[in-house]
Amino acid sequence: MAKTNMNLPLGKQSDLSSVISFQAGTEWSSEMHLDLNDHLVTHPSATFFLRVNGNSLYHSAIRDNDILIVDRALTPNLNSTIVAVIDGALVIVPYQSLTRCKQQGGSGNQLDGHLMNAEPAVWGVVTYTIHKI
Amino acid sequence: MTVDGLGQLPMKEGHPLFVLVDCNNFFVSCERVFDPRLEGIPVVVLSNNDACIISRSNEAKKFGIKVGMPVYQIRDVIKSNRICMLSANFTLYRDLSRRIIHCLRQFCPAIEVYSVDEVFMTLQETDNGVINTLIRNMRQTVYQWVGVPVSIGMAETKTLAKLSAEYAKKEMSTGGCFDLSACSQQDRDRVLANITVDDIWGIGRQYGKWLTAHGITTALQLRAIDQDWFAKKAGVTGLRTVKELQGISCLPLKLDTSPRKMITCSRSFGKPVTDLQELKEAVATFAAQAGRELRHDRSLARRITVHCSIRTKLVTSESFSTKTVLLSLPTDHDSDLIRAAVTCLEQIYQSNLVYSKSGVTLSNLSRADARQTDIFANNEQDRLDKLSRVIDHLNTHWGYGTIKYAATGTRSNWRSRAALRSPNYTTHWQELPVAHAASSSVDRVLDPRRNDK
Repeated sequence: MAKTNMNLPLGKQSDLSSVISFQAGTEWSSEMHLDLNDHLVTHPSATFFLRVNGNSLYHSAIRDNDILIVDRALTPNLNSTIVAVIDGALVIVPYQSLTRCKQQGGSGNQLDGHLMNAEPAVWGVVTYTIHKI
Repeated sequence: MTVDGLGQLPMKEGHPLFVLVDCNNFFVSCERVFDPRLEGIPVVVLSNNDACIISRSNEAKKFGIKVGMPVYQIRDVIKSNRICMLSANFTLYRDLSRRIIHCLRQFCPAIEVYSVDEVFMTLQETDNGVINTLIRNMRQTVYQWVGVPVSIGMAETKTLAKLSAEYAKKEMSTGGCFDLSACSQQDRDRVLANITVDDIWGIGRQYGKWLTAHGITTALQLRAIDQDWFAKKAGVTGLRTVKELQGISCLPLKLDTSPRKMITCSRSFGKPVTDLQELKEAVATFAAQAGRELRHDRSLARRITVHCSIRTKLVTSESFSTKTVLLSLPTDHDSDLIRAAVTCLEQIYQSNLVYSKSGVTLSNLSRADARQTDIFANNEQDRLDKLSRVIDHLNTHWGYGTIKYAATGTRSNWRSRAALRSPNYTTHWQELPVAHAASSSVDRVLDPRRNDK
């Protein structure tokens, strides 16, 4: 994953960085900024960003057009919200409703209004949603 | 001919084992991660310019579609069987490849990235059960983390590891992992007897034909070949393959990540090009692309070569024209590269010819940290360095092509066809995969904003 470095304004960069390096030595690049990736992404090679479509998970604070952070390395537990593959689409569901539906038998049943032909599969576990205020 | 290489098998204890991790139908598998509708149906991925098949799903294989086939030859098969066609999305494939490599490094840091979809590793031979669990765990982890199915082969040499991975892919009973080193001699022979010579790594079609003509059709027969006789034909390289089949490792893991000696960017044109201006734009674009890779490697180029393919009346033959210049100083600046490339082109361009392909090659590369300075160049160098950094920064953050030199053009008639390319799911904010939050009826109840309307 690319580093989200917050660089100084481009035109002044060389002048400013020479001033800073005079004051703080060479470590400024690792100490002078926060990287959101460090905070939000535990497994960079297994983490994907998805765009939310629809508002049916409004109560779980997942809203239309949010950016969802999904970690495929995690194993879901009963409190997890997951992205599942349902009838060829990526659908956000509470993991509980998926297990409930699996217990009732694989095919031809319903999951939150979705009629399913194939057994749903876990695609990844939702860890954060980025919502613009 | 000797009967068998039996006596030459190395001692088992303490030898490193080679592991090959090979992605199954890699390009198709990448597409399936983000579009699960493609699961279970026949899918093919097309090369640059949508010309031929470069990857196909197992379902498409059943219709006789092979990698390398030109699309126009199988248009009917594709149509009548509703085979899904996609243009190659190399940005996506490279990203998933990088993720897979990263994921595999957790298991073993000694990794050779052999190609975009193949990785060699070495493991020290210990208890068989432990290793067996480890490679199955590896396969499961890559599939869970990245979503791409892989086949894993393990053996005493690279060549045998490659054959084992092939065997793991073909035989469902292996569960995608096959350890040849744990097999009895009988089983080893049985596996090798089922592999035709052209499928052996390092043999290729040419020697394959020659060997078949001499009655050697399987890997088992090649292992027992008269080595002196074969060495006369195939040289040291051929002999090495035979030794590797016998279990004597001749090809070590290449961990060397030294920068490339040469960088080439080239494309076939979507339409034939005759106009000089259009050709200039194409060549300038390739020069800028090569420059970007050059800076990524932290190298400088001294020599630049422009090559153009000329379409002749005979469909089967092609002629080339090339021009090389040596720059006064090694550089990594797009502006220098573009200027040099366009000058080369102007010297070889002929208005009465039809061009089908062109490209730019940078060579005579050196390390950027050992840059020579031109005493007459004053601060110009510094300014250009800064400019390159800004351009690369903008293009990395906002997508390639956000900012570019005017010389690379805006018309781009020459650009390759990629009509059926999937979104850049993992590299562009505007093209992220969509996750649905259930049905519209539920939506209305829960969303107060929509109730207001």
